[in-house]
Amino acid sequence: MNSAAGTELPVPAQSTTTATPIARDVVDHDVMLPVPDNAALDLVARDARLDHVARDVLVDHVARDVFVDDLTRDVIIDDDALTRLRHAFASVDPGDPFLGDVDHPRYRALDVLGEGGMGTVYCCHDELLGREVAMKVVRATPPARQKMLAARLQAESRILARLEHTGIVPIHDVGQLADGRVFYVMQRLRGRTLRAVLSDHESGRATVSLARRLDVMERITEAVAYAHEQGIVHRDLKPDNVMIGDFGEVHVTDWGVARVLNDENPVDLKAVADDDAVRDGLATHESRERLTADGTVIGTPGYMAPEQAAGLARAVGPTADVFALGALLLALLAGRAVDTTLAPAEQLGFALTTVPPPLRAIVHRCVEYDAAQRYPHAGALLDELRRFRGGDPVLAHRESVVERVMRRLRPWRTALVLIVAYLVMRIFVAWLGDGRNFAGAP
Amino acid sequence: MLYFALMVTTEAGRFPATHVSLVMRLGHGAVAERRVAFEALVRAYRPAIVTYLRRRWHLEHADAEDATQALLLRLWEQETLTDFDPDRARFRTFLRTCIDRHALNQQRDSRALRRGGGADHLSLHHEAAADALEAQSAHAAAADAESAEDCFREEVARALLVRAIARLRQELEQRDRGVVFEVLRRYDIEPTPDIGYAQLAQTLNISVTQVTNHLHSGRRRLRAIAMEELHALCSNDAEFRDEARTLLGVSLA
Repeated sequence: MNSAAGTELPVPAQSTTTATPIARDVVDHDVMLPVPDNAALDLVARDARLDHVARDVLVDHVARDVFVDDLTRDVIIDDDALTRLRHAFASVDPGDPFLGDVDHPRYRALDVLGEGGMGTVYCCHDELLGREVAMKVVRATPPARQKMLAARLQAESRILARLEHTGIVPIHDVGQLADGRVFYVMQRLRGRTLRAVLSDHESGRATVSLARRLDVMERITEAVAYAHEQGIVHRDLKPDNVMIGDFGEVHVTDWGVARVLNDENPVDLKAVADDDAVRDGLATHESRERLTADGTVIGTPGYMAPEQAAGLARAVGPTADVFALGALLLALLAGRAVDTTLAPAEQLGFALTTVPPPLRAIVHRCVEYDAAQRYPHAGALLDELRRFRGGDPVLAHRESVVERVMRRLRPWRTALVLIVAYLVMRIFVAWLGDGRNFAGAP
Repeated sequence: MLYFALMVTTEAGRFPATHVSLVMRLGHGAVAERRVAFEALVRAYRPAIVTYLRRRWHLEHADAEDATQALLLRLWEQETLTDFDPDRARFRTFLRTCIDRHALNQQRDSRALRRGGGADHLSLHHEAAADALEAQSAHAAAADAESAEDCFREEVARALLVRAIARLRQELEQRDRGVVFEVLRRYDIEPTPDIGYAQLAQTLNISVTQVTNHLHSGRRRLRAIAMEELHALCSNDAEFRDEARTLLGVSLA
């Protein structure tokens, strides 16, 4: 130790025969600590003679300070610097998100938009084009995990690049930050998640009409149907992954666990999910529930198809997305997020009591336990939704005679109402006229 | 209570961190622990004590170094710092009182020697030191103490920041992020006249965007480190908050 307070200080005599050399030096005060290297510190940290507080003090302060002492000799702070730094500290808001690790010559981080298991989404200013964009960056993790996350992000960026649809956020750029972490840049969306919209609707803060909710559902289904056409399955559709823009536009987001059907080189998502489970501190039992011998469990309870929840990776196809779309439709019709403790099919009875039977049947068909009983892909569901909205019969529901008549009359509803009103009025006038005639009779 | 916990904010957000208060460890635990705590405190305060003795007591550098060494030796021998009572004063004020008493003793010694006789030493223990100081002319002492307090405060803040900057530099260089430290050094610590983002970007061959990003992250991390250093030097949460405001200009909610 190079502290001047070291060797000149008095040293009460104590003997320690069992302690490690480093700890004995400290305890006996015969000599000061040598400049500790990692191995020496490790010895101190493991020395049973020192209580944990002493070890904390030693490791935290001695190790750090010894190295720092040398470096302080090069630092000079004059009064002006002192004032400047105080002002700088006062201007730092520790509540602000940390943006310093986004180091790229073109993009300047402005804010954190969200954080997930894989990484962080920043709002950045694109200095080249002068616009705000969203940058998704993988989290800083140990190298092995970093490699997996990078592969996952790159897979996501490639998938997004394949999907050119108004309901899917376009990707602008991919690259690496100065610290080596990969990122991609996409359009900055302004709006709220469907979860937030549903929450406001449920609480009565901002109600959304059924027609608008069905419109949102149709837009979501359009985007997913397009992805299915491109051979891509989203695998994590839920209200958090749908953004409703300020001008009503609807985007399906977070394609991080999407799968390209028939992909010969898929990303090793099992390893990633396995790692996620360990990172999230999941209990062994829970890990077993999420990860099965057959594959990877990726998805969200309540929106996850049974085969997906069972980890049957090969069985997870477009019908799994159809299941999630059914759960989303259920949430939209009920006006609240689904109960994740119950299967969607179990919620139909009480959640959709006031919903027209054909719509209820569509939801039911989507959330069938058996994947083969569902719509085969989102395109089929889209057709079904359009049929309902267009007043046509839906395939999922067999109509009664009364329902069929009512449905067929629905387009003429206004005219029928007017005709009936006219007839009622004529009868009433005739009745009044008859009354006068009777009254005037001699 | 050997620990006091509080919420310390770092670049990663808000998280609860329990730190060891070196000040409180001075009066507790085994000799080894007290010794380590004392040494850590010495490392933190020594530069401030030397500079304070030079500025306030007009000592030459070598004399100030000697006086500091003698003071620290006496503080350890007499276990003076174990007398510290956080309810009576902040640790910095207590230490400054000890320094003043020590310097006064030395001054008396040298005068007495010139006259050929000895002089009675005033105790460094806080109560006696405080009483002795109070015995001085009340008006002059008040003005004098205020000025001395300001002087020592600035030196302690300077020493604290020097250590924080050294740690930041070490940390960033280990992470191969020396450029962040360079931006902070050239803009906040040792700026040349008329330094600007553009000029700095050109000098370091990075974009202006990177300059502002680095400056933001460097300041933020430096603040977090300085707060961490300060925390170890305070005896309780109230003192920490007070010292953060006084020394670093940071107001904690």
